[in-house]
Amino acid sequence: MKPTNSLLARYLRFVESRNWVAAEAFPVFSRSLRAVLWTLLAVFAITYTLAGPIARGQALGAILLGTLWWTFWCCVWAVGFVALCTLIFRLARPATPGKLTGKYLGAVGSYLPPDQPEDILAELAADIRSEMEDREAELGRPLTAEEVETILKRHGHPMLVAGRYLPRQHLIGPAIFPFYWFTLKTALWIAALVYVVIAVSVPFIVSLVQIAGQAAPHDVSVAGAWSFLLIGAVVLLAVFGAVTAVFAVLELVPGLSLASRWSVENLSAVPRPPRGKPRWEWTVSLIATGLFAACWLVMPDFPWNLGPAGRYLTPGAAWPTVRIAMLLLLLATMLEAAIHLARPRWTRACTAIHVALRVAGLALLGFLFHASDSLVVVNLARVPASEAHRLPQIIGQCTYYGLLMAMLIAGMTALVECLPYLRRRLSPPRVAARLIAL
Amino acid sequence: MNAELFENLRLELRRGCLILAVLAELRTERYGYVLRKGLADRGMAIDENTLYPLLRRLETQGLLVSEWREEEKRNKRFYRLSPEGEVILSQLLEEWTGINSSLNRILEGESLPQSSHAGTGEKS
Repeated sequence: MKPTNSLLARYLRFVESRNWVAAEAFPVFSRSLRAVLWTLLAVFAITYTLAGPIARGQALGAILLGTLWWTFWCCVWAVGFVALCTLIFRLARPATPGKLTGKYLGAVGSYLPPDQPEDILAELAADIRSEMEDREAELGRPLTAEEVETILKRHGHPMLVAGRYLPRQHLIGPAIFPFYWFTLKTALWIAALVYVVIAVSVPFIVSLVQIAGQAAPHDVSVAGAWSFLLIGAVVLLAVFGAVTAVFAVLELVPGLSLASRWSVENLSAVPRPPRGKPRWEWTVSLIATGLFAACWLVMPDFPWNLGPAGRYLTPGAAWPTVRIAMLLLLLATMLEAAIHLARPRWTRACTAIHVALRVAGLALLGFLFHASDSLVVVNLARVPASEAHRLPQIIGQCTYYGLLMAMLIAGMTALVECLPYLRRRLSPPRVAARLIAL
Repeated sequence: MNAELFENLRLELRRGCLILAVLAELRTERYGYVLRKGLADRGMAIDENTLYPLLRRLETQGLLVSEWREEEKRNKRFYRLSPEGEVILSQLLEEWTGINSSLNRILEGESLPQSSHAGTGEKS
């Protein structure tokens, strides 16, 4: 009989192969297990069918809860019955050497593809028997069940033994693996970028549209962040699956050779190793940051007092803290530029201060995002009555999504900038440049 | 780490040699278990999960022929080298001799004679 692969059939084969149930009792066990499971299923189905008319008029939640409750109890009864039967039958009778070999071969056979010839099992059986005979000749007595089990265990897990006869031993072979790996990395980066842009920009646009008609305050919640991460993980998983599936299909195409379709002329040039900014850029950076810091220090309402919206806006409760933090950040930026100009050879100090600045910038953005509701206050007395209900919402949404976008951009920039510092010595462009220099 | 690395490299080194050893051993007809024991006795141990799939592959490639026969009241599958397998084996042995002597020269630090074993190093 051709072995089936349902969950129950697999469980029964497993119980049989491990000799948990004596061979004589196994048909009874198998029939009992099937009968109990079918009975539970029937009880569940009848109850569920009757539950509709009976529960008519009840809330949907109560009906669903009842259904779940029944499902849970069915599972508990089934698992309990299986565990009890297994325990009882396991103690019934010990295994014999012949049965062990038969079970092992049966287990190997269940993992072989259906189109494989029967002689794989016959040959394996002949090998095992020969080994057992040799061992019996050495010992001068028949083998015990434990000794037979040792021989069979040495042959390996049935799934692994059967797996060696499968026509394919890999999903993506070494010939196309480098192409697969490059494509996968590129696709994952692009998918992550596109997802972040869409996930941030679409709700922003929708919220602006909603504000024009009806109020829809933005939602800063932990659940929102989790769903953002969860959907992102699903998107990346889908991209991973799609790329892997495409390359697995390419692996099946006979004669397809990606490695032969290239020319030296079309190769991209070796990128130059990353070099620091020139001195003039650091000078400009120092002067510009100094001017900005001066404005920041002199004008308490900066930058809310700029532009036509300045007459409606005043800094909120969280602004004094932000002003001090921002001022410190600007001074640190000036310090970095000054070190680069005065002591360009202090590479470790420059790297450390650069990384620290990126982290501090991200922390400040995080604080701004957290306190986005108390950054600015709209002076409603000066706002025209027709705009009074919409303006705070528009400002709130713009602040929220603007800061969210800034955080994501700053995070990615920090990642892109800081990673080379950590692995600069082994970066491929540097190795390639060194090879060219040789 | 070093032990694992050595084991991987050792298996890689043995992989090609195993095919040669199996083909050479099957110049005389043998069934699987005796073949496995014979190889192990000569220091080329191979586990059955590698040997039997290899035998089937070599048979599919036409290098071996097999038949089921009864011996000592048991049915056993006997393998031997096919005529095509004999040709391939002699070519492989020639290649092996070439590789072996090249490697010996490399290990002993001698220089290569001109146009000697021109093809041995091309596709190793």
